[in-house]
Amino acid sequence: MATQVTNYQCPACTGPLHFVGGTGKLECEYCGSAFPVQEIEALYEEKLGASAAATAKKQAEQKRQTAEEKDGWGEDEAHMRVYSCPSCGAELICDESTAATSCPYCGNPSIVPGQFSGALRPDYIIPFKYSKKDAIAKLNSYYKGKKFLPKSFTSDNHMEEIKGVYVPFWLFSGTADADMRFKATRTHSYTTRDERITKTEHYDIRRAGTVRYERIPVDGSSKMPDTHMEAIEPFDYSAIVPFSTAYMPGFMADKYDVTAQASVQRSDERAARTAEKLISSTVSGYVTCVPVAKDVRLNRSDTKYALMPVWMLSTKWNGKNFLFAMNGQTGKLIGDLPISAAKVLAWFAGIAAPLMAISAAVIFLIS
Amino acid sequence: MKKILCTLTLAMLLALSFATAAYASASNAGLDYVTDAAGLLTASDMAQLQPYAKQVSEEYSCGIYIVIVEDYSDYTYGDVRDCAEEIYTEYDLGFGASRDGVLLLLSMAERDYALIAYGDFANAAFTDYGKEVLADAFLDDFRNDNWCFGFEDYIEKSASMLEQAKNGTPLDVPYGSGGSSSVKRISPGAKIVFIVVVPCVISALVCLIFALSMKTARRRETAEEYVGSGDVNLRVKQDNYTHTTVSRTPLPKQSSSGGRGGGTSISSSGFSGRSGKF
Repeated sequence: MATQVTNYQCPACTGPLHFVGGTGKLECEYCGSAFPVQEIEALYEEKLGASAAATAKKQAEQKRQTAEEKDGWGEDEAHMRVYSCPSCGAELICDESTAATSCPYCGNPSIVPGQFSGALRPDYIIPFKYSKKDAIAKLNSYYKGKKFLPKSFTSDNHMEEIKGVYVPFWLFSGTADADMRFKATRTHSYTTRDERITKTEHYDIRRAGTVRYERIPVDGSSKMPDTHMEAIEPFDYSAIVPFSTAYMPGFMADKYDVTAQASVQRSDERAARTAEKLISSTVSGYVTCVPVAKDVRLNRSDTKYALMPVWMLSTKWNGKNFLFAMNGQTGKLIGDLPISAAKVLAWFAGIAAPLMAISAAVIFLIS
Repeated sequence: MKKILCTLTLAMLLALSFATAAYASASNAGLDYVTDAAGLLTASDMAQLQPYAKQVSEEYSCGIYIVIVEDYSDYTYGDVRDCAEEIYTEYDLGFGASRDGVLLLLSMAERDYALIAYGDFANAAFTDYGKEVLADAFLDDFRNDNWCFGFEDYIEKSASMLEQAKNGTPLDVPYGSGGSSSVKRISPGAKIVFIVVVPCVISALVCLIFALSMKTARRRETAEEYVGSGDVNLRVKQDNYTHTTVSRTPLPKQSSSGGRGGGTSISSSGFSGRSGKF
C-alpha cells in the first residue's frame, strides 16, 4: 500500500490550499479564504509528525517488497517512491528526493511526509514572492527585444508549464584570511627643452586581512544545473524565515541529494576569490599593481540547509533543451535562448551594408 | 688656435677641390658644391654628387651645397646652425646678386646637422615646412649611415622644390590647414580597410552584443554580496618604497616659428634654417 502524502486543506471547505507570495498567506482555491502560515502550521504539526513515522516504516517495507518482486522497473525503481493522494486516492510515483508536488489527477498540492523531518528538516526557507502569472509575464518580456530569437521558439514555448520549485541549498558561512603581496609603481613625467623625462617609483606592497562571509549558497540538488542556480543570485536574506512546510503548497520541492561535504568546495572557491578581490581593492593610488604572492586560508563556521524559491521552465526546441530559471524572490530571470543563423546574417548585412556605403561615399569625397 | 687650424685644413681641402676646376660653381664661391672634411664619402661618391649638385645649382641659379666636418665646434663658438651660416658667409656661397643657395652641414662628432637657406629665391623656395620635408628626405638615410643615398635625396628633393618655386607654388603649408600642404593619397589597401573591413568589424561587434544577451546563464566567480560592509578587517597594510627608475625620450626637433602657419622664418642675418640630430 502506498504511503499517504499530506494535503494542506482549507479548514473552512477542505479545498486545496496554496501559498501566495504576495500576501504571505495560504489561500483556498475554492472558497478564497486566507490563513496565516502559523495557523495552518499548528493545525498540521501533529498530522505531519504521525505521517513521517508511518512513511519511514512504509518505505522500508516497500524496499523489501520491490527487492523480492520479479517484475520490477529495473535500476530506476530503487530511486522511486509511491504515495497515495488523500483527496482522490490516486497513486503518485515520485523520485525519492521529491518533497512536495501536486497530484496529476486532482491537482491538489501534496507534501510528502518525512522528507523534511528530523535531520532532513531545512533550517530556513525563503517564500515565493512572485506568482506564476508574474513569472510568465517576466518570461514574455525576456523574449522581447531578443533580435536573434527564432519566431517559432516563442510560439512553441509552453509558458504555462512553468513550475515553482523550492530548490535545496546549502548556506556556508565563515571567514577567509588572505595575505597578499604586490609590485606597484607610480610615475610622473615632465618635459625639458630636448627630452621627456619619466620617473617611475617602485613599491613592494603587502596586505593581509580577514573577510567574513555569510551564507554563500550552493545548490544541493543534482537535478538543478549549478550555473543556472548561481546566475539567479543573489537572494535577499532579509526575507529568510525558519522553515515551515506551510509555505510549500502550490509549489514543488525536493530534498537535497548533494551533501554539504560535496557542495562546500564551490563555496570555498568563491569565498577565496572574494577575499582576494576585496583585499586587493585596498591597494590604491598606483599606476600599476601586479600581485606576486597570495595565501588564503578559510575557516568555515556554519552550514545551514535552506529552500530557495525558483520558477523553472524546461523547453525542447529543435531537439535541444533550453532551461529558464527565475529567482522566485527577486524576479531575476536567466536562461540561454536559441540563436537564429538567418537573423544573425540579416542583422550583420543590415548594419554592414549601409556603413560600407557611407564609408565609400566619404572616401570618394576625400579623393 | 684650434679654430685657426681647422680653418686652414678646410682651406687646404678647398685647394684640392680647385684641382677639379670643372666643378667650380659659377657663383664665385670659395667652396665646392660638395666638401668632405671628414672623409665620409668615397671618390666615386664625390664623382657622383658633385656634378649632380652643380647641374641643379646652375639650372635654378641657386646653389646646392653639402659640407661635412668632423666637429662643428672646431669652426664656431655657436651651435651647428651658426657654423653653417658662418661657412656660407665666409666662403661667399650662393648664386646671383642675392646669393641664393641652400647648404646642408653634417657634423660627425655628435651627429648634428644644419640645413640653411639664403637669398630671396632660396628662402621662398625652401619654406620652413619645405625644409622639414627636405630633412625627412635624407635623415632616414643618414640614420642608417647611407651617406651617398642621403645626399642624393637632398639634391633631388631640393631640385623638386626649386622647380615648384619656379612655377610659383613653393612647397608650403596651405593657409589655415595647420597640417600638411597637400592631402595624402589613400592607398588601395587603406580604401579596402575603410570601406569593407571597418563596417564588417562594427557590424560583428553589434551582433556579438546581441548574441551575448541571448546567453545569460553564467557562473559567479565571487560572492561579494554575502560580505557585509564591515566584514573586511585589514590587519597588515605595508607600502614600501624600493627604488626609482628614470627614462628619457628625446623630443623631435620642431621647425622654427611659422612652420605650421606657412612661409619662411628669416633671421636678421638673412638666413632661414633648421637643425637637429641624425
